[in-house]
Amino acid sequence: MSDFTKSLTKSLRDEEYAETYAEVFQDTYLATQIKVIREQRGKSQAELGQLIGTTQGGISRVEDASYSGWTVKTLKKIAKALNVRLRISLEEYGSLPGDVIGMNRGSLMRAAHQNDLVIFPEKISASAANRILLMDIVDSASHDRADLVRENRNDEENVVNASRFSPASDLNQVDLSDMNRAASGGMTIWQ
Amino acid sequence: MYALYDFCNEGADNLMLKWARKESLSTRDRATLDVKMDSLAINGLDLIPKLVSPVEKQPGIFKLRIQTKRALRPMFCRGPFTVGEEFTFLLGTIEENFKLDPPASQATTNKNVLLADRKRRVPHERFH
Repeated sequence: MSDFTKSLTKSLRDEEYAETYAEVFQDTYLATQIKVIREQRGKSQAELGQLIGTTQGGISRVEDASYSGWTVKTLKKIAKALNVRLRISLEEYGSLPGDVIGMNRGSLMRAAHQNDLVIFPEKISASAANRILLMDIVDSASHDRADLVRENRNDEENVVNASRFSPASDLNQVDLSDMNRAASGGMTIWQ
Repeated sequence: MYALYDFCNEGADNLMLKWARKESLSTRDRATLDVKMDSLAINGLDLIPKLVSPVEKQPGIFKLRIQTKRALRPMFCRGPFTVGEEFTFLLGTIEENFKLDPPASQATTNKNVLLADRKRRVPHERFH
């Protein structure tokens, strides 16, 4: 356990502190993820706004780490416009440090429905398959996941980020059900 | 992950913690400050939208945007010794009616003091 995780875990013993920390982190996470996926789709704030019936200013308001006026209705609209599903889940406080430390651009990105490798495994191109194996080797050499994400940010191919894959000698060992599970160690299609 | 530091006085007292005590920051204030500072330490300036903003007329000084019952505005700079690897919190302020107390110029003064004496900072401590 890192010093940061130890320190945050200790702070979370205070119930009022834990409640506030979780709430503020959730707001920060949502605002950031909407911005990251919107950019991943190549859409401007105005374009996303148009899709959900609001203005550029409306999107700018929700893409603010301090915004806290979320409604499920709005989140459903945004999810639909970004071609992803909305998942709402009740969690234990103990999972919070892991969520905080694991938040980065790569972990926030999500494949659009049409590029979801679980649903469309045939979309794994030969080059991406090679990339999986290459990155798997890099991962087993204990490279940092964030570095891998940065290395691939500008890749124009349909690249699969397999940065937290368990070692595999060939694609047959790849569990496709993990492919789009970015936050918990799966893979993300970069588009 | 970026390293965070807090400006301190000649007696090595952490002035950010002193500010938090002086302003009687609530548990809610402290938790909110910690989320924003943790986000800065983990992701830096680029990922999280509207986490920070530059401070007017104080080049190289940024403020975290924190709205609780009061507008808390801790100020910091990149580095200043290893830019790209660390941030140093220089001053705690509260904004009311577009006015900062203490004034933002104090952050620049503190940065200059730190540049002249590397000992005038300590590793950042959580507010809770």
